[in-house]
Amino acid sequence: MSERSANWQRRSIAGKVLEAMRRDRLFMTCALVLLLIAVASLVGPLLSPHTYFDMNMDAILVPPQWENGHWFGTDDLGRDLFVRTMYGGRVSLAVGVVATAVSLVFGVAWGATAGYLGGRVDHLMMRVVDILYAVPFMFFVILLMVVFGRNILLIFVAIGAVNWLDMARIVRGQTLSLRQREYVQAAEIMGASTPRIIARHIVPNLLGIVMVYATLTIPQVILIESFLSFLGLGVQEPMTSWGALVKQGTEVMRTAPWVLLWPGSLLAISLVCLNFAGDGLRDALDPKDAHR
Amino acid sequence: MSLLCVDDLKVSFTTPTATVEAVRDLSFRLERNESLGIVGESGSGKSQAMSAILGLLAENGSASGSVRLEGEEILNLPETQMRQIRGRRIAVVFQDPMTSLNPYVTIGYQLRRVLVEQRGLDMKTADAEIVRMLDAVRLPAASSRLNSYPHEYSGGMRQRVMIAAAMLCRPDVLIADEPTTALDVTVQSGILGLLLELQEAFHTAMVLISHDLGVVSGVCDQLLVLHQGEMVEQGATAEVFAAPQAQTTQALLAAVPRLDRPLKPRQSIAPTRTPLLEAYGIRVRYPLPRPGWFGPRQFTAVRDVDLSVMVGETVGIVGESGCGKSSLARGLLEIGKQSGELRYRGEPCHLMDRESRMRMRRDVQFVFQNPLGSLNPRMTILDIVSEPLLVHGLAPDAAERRRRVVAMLERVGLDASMLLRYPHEFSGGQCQRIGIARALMTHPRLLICDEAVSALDVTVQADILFLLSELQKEFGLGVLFISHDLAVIRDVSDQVVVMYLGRIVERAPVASLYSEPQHPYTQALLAAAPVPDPEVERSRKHAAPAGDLPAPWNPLPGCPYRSRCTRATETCEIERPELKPRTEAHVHWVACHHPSEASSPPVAEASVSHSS
Repeated sequence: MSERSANWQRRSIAGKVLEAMRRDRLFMTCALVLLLIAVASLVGPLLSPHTYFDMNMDAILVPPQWENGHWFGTDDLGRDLFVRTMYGGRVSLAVGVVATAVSLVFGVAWGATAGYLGGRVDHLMMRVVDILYAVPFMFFVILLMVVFGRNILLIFVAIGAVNWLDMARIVRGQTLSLRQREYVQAAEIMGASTPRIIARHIVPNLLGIVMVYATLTIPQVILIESFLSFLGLGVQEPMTSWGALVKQGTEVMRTAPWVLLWPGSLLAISLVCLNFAGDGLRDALDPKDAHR
Repeated sequence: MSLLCVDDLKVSFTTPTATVEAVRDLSFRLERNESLGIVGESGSGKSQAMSAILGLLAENGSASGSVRLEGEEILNLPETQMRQIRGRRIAVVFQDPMTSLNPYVTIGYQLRRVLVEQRGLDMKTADAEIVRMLDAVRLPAASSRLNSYPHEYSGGMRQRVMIAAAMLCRPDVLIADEPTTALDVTVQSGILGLLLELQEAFHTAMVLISHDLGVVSGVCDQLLVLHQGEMVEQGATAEVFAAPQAQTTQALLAAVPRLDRPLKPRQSIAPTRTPLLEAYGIRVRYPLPRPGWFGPRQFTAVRDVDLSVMVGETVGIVGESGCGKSSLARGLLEIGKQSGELRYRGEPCHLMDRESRMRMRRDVQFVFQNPLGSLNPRMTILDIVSEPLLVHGLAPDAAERRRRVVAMLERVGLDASMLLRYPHEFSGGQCQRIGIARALMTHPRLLICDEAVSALDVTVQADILFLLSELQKEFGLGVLFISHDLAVIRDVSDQVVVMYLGRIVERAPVASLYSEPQHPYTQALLAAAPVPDPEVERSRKHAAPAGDLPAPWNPLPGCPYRSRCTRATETCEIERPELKPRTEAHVHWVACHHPSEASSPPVAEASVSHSS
C-alpha cells in the first residue's frame, strides 16, 4: 500500500459525507437558498443604479417598480430598498456567522477542557462562566459602545462574548458524560495525552449537539443584532441590517407594506434554511447515518 | 386443548431497504403447569416472537400465523382488547429490573396500580394482596417496605418485585424474557428457584427466554432452540440435552464453559515465576456524591489488595458485581484515586520517570466489557487500531501503520476491507476483536480483560476465548482476566482470586480452588452457578447465599461476609479474618475464621458422576 492510496481512501471518507449531503434534498435546497441570498447580498448592490445612502425626496415610499430601478421600492426617506436590503443582509449574515463561529470555537474549547479535566479546574472555569453570566447583557453592550464608540466589530465581540457561555455549559455537560465512556478510558489507558483525547475523542463526539446548538445560535444572534439595532445600539445609519430595516418597516407597514416585507421575508427564509441546513449537516457528519 | 397454541408464527420488519424476517414458522404448545424454555443467540428472534404474541411489536413489524390462548385467537387483536389480555392473562417479566420500575413512584403504589386497574380491587384489599404476594416472592419485611422507592432496593429485590407485579393478577402464562441476565449468579439462582416455586403454587404456565442453557436446563420441561428466526430443535429438556439433534444446539452446548467438566490442562505457555506486575496494599477510593464539611467523604472500593501476575500467567478475578474487581483493574493502571505500592517488572511505579511510565502504558493494555462502547463511534477502524502506534510514536509513517493494522486485523480474524468502516457496522464479536487488535498493537506484556466476553453470545465467547489463548501463547502475555462467570474463569486461568466487598477472600491455583473451595463465599458462588445439564440442575435446590450484597460503603466490623454466612460465629463479628495460607505450600490462601475442608460443592460431586 502506498501513501497515495491511503490518502485516496481518506478522501473517500470526506466523499461519503459529501455524498450523504447531496442525497439529502432538503439540505441541498436550503443550502442553495442560503448561498443565493449570500451571493445576492454581496453582488446585488453592484447591479443597482442606486446606493444605500442616497435620499431621493421625489421618490418617497415608492412601491416596487422595474423601470426606475427601485426593484424593492423605496423607504420613507426615498432610499432604494433593494440595495439597503442587500447591505442589511451582509451585516446580518456576517454577524450571525462570525459571532456563532466565535462562540463555537471558544465555547467548545472552554467547555470540553473544563468537563474533561474536572475537579478544581472545572470549578474555576465554570465559575468564570457564571460570573460572566451575571453581567447584564445590555449594560455590557452600552458600556462597550460608550468606551469604544459605535463600531460594527464591537457588535460581533459583544454578541460572541455572551453566546459562548451557553455553548460552554452545554459542551461541559456533554463532556462529563463522554468522559465516562469506555473509548475515552481506552485512550487514557493507552497513554494518550490530554489534548489528544479532547481533540480526537471528546470533540468529534460532541459534534451532533454542537451542530444543533450552533444552528439555533445563528438565528438567535441575528435576532439579537436586530434587537440592538432596534434600540439604536446596533449598526449606525445610514448603514443598516435586516433587524434595523424591519424596525423601519413596522413604522410604515400600513401605508407601505413592502418596506417590512422584503427584509422581513428574507430574514425569515434565511432562519428557516439555516435550521434545516444545520440538521442536514449533523446527519451527514454522523457516521451512523452515512450509509442510509 | 392446550393453554397457549402458537402455529406458524411469522414476524417480519420492513426497513427502508428490505423486509427482514425475524421469526419464521414458529409453532409450539404450552400446557398449564408446564414451562417452556426458548434459547438462541442474540438476534435469533426469541424476544421478537414473544413481542408478537403480546402485540408489542415495533411500528414497522408485522406478524402472521396464529396464536391461541385457550382456543381464542389473540394475534393482531386490536390494542383495546389486547390490553385485557396483557397483564391479566399473560404477564411479562423483563430483563432489566433497573429500568422496569418507575423511579419516582413508591413500590407499593406501582403494585397497587396493577390490582386497582386490572382487578378493580379497593386499596385495602389490594394492599393485603400485595403483601401476600411480596411474601411469596421472598421479599423480607414486605409490609414495611411498600413505601420505599425502587432505588432503595437491590437488583435482585427489584426483580422479585417485578415478578410479584406480574403474578398479582394470577396470569395463565408468565413470560420471562432473560429475567436473570442482568443479575449476579448468586441472585440468579434465587430468582430461578422462586420462579419454579411460584409455578407450582399458582399453576402458571411459563415461557422462559434465555441465551443461557444453564438457566433453562434447571427450570424448563420443554425446550425450543431458535437460530436466525428458525426453530431448529424442540423437545423435552432432558432429551435435548442428552442428545441434541440440530447443529446449532450442539454448537451451543459445546460452547458453554462448564463447571462440571474435568478441568482441561491449559495448553498455554508454562507460567514462569518472574513477576510482571506486583501490587501491595492497593486501595481504590471514589468520592461520594455528598462531600461532608470536613473534606470529601470517600468510598473505598478496593481495600488492601495484594496481587501479582507472573510472566505468561493468567490470573482470574471473580466476584459479584460491586465487589471491586473492575475498580481493582483500573487501580492497577493508575487511573483515578488509588494508593498502595505497584511494581512493574520489579520497578516501583511511583518512582518511574515519564519515559518508563509511558513504556508501562505501552506494555499494559486493556480489553473492555462493552465491545461497541469501547470504540470511538466517530473513528474508522484504521484510526482506532492505529491510535496506540501514534500515541507511542511507534510508526510515524502512515503506510507502515496501515500495514501493521492490516496484519493485526488479520491475526484476530478480521480482514482489511473493514479498515475504513465505523464500529457500529460490526457485530459485538467483531467489535471485541477490534478491541483486542487495538490492545495488541503495541505488543504488550500484560493484558487486562475486564469482563471481556460477558456481553457476547456463548459461541462468540468461545471464539474470543480461543483467540485470547492463542494470542497469549504467541505473544507470551500475562493476562488478568476479570469475570463474574466462574466457568469462564475456570477455563482460562492459572490462578484465581475471589473478591468480596473490595477484599480478596480466597486465592488459589485454579485446580485447587474449584476442587477444594475453602471460603463459604466461594462455595456459595460455585453452588449458585448454573450448569447446562437438566439432571444436575433439577437435583440441586436453588439455594442462594442468604440475602444480597450489603451496601459496600458501610462495611460491617469483623468479617465482611458474616451477614450472609452460615458459619458465622462470635469471632467473625469481632475480628476480621486475614488472608492466610492454608497449607505449607503457600498456594491456597483464604480469609476466613472457619474455612472448611469437608464440604465440597455439589458441582464437584456432579463432575465426578459425570466423568465416570
